[in-house]
Amino acid sequence: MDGGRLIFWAAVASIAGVAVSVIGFVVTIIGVWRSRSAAEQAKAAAREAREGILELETIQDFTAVTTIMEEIKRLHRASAWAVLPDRYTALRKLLGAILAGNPDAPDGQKALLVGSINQFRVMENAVERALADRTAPDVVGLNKIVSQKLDKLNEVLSTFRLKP
Amino acid sequence: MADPKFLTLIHKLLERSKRGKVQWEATAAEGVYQAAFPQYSVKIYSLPGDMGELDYILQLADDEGQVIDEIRDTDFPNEFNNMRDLFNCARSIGLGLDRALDSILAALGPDEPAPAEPSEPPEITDGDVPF
Repeated sequence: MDGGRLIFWAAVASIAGVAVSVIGFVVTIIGVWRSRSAAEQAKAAAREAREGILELETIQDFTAVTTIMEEIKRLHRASAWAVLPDRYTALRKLLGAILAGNPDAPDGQKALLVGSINQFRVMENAVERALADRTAPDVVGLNKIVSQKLDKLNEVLSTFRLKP
Repeated sequence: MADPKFLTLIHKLLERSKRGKVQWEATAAEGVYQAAFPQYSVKIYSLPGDMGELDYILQLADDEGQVIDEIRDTDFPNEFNNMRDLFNCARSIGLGLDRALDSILAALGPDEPAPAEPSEPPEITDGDVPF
């Protein structure tokens, strides 16, 4: 083989080597991109599943909240004052759990939850004071507040139920 | 000494309340009104003071309803009028007074023009008498 031909084949081999390297590099990049994409998809699926579970828990908590509020109205009407403070506490805990579990909820919904927690604390104090003073709390006034809160919380619950 | 930020809070609450931007509501305690925000709430009420006039108290509560701090109008002597106005505004919104007045005024309808007074009959002259 003469020198010119040797140089030619050496150049061809060199170019082919570069081409193979470039192709290998591209294949590697695609592989990495695909694996990252798959990992991200898995992460997104996990996040969606987690959010779904949280929403389900929120709906369950809301349902429990409305049940306790209806029970509180009945207990007011029955003047069962001695058992009411425990129900107010249970209700506040559930409302607090909903608030803590939904940090991304709209401000209006968070304000409704905060306002409801505060209302039932004031209500609990009013009933405790009436018990201590041996006076009868205003049943109509108390149930009016419970009903107003119940209506607004039901509106929020329906927005959770309507979520796709 | 009360936090001077309370002063800003009073002014902002009063200004927003006058524009109907703060949703005050009545509570189970008579004469106590609250407004809730995403993480905190405020309550306002009045108590008879030592000098015979009312003292106004503004409380700040956390998201569990625990009172964090409170101020009285006496903490900021120049703010008595603003605290009183804020209380009256909160009461008006909390009891739905504004809504009630608007509703009744709307039901009464717009002012109608007063009926025109009957014009005086024309004077009778000799030409008007047939005989």
